[in-house]
Amino acid sequence: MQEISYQARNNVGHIKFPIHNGAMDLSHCRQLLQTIELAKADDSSKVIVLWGGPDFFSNGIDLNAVHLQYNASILAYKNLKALNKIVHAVLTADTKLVISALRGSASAGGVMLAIAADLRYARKNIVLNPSYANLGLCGSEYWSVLLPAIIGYGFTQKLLYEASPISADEGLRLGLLHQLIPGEPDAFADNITAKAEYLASTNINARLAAKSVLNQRLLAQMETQVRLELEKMKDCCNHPEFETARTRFVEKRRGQQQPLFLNAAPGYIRQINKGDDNE
Amino acid sequence: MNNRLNLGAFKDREIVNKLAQQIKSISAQMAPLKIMHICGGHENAIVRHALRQFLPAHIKVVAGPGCPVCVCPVESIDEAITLSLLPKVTLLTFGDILRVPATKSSLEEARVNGGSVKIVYSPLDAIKLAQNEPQQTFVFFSVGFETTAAGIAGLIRSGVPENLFFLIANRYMPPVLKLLMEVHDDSLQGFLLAGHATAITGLGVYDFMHDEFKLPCATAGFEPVDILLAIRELLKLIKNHQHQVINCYSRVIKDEGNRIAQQCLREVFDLKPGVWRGIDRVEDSAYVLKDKYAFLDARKQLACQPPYPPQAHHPSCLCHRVMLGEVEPQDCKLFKKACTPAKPFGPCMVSPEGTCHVRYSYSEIKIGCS
Repeated sequence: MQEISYQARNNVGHIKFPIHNGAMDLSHCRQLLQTIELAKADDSSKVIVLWGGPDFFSNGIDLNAVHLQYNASILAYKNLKALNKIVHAVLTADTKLVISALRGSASAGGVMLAIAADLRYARKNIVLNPSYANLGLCGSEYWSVLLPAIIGYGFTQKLLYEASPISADEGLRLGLLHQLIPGEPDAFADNITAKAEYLASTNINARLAAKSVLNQRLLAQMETQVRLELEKMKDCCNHPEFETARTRFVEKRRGQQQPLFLNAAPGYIRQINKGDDNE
Repeated sequence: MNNRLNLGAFKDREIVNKLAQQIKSISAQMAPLKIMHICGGHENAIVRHALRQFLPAHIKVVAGPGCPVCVCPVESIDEAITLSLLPKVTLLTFGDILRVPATKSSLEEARVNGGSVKIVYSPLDAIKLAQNEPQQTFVFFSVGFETTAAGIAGLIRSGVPENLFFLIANRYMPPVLKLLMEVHDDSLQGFLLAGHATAITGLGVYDFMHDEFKLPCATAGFEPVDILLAIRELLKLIKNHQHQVINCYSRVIKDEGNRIAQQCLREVFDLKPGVWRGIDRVEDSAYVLKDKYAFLDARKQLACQPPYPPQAHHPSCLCHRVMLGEVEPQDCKLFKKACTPAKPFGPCMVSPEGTCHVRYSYSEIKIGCS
């Protein structure tokens, strides 16, 4: 595992978490949480940039690690709660402006981690997959607060129920992302760093004051909503759907990948389900 | 002077009613709360004496993984079955594990299929049997918590016949509380600690509940007055935001526990990560014979590996979630239908300390309380 790192430069704290495949197990989550708390406590920085990794920003919990456990449901639940703490730490960073810099794609809890930031910039070629349902889960990481607040109730319904991945352009249109930045990774990094340093050194107090007003309603809902999310997640973690979806995902069985909503044409779905029945 | 303890007083209806009234008045202004007990004996006593009917509706007492037979990993029962089927080997064990379903069968079924399984009522019986039949190999299958482990440790330390081995599946309770805290988040407000196990360990091993989780714990005995008294004291602590571990069973438990038993346990066993059936692998919770006693370890000295992988539970069986206190037995669709004490699907329906068995046997009891 590459190190999760924190570096402060020119009033900006840079957090990099280049985790293999973007899949965060319990120890990654604990380490990232510590790093975020460290950045929050660092008076020398006013803006925090979450860089994720070069290939993936984050893909949420590590299903491979979960799948190998004696009781996968319990580890999945622990892993989800650990990721919740990270998102909570980002959402409650009231003395810093937080930027997500998506160099790579994100899915599930990784998307929520990205959108918990105040500003969200991405490379043009990334994909966001904010769906949990394809893995037999209803979702956590404060999605029920973040998604409706950012993209509205209707789009949240579409995103959650259809559970289809969306392009960066679609993410920008919905408001999940604030700007798509073209060019090579180095140019992207330079661009984000310049933006972060500008924000950190120009009227940051006013921006943070605006943030505290804007986020107040959202923060007030967090406790109730996350309890609801976890309650439902616990049921999902113990449901056979999760085990089946997780096994399919982890073992990557040929011909047994779950059909996506995008492919929902009558003949195709029936064919796949028939294949399942024949096993 | 008669120093004998009048145990009848611990069932006294008047005292029980008085305690119920006190619990009612202490909890009157309290928000709904959940207390967990971690002893199969407590669940048996609570249901048998209908004690939940004495509690206000907003005070819930849920059962945790306190039944030793229920948490015994299926892998260990599979090993015991394999041993029982070896020629010239007799497996000795306590009766309540006999009918617990394992991957392919139970020990009872193994016995029907030619396995040599004998029930003993004390580990000392194992010594006698081994001495009487020196040509036969005996394996004592040890299941239980600290109380049973301490007896076995004492026996091993004092020396056993050469033809007696041990298949150890004992579990140490304190670490599993951390897992329960993780699973239940902040929905648990206190624990009733097992009376007998704490008599061995003492209260100090639960100090982490105070330091790490800020949650009160109380030891409790097994009579109605013992249990209601412990609940009353626990509620007082919760109400006053205190987080001590207190002893409400002082006629049996010393705060420091049984030092001799602790010394025996330390000398004979190491604590390693161990599976709690269907629940999880829990750090430092499995008693394992120390290397110097490897010559007594059936796992090391005899061929006990079954030729099949373990299967912890039937897909529809919710025993593991019942043991975690996440669901009630009646939430399981097998309960009282396909799964009965006569034909158990999961371990909780077998032992008289298993939550499902207790609820099946006594759930209809209703007591009018004043």
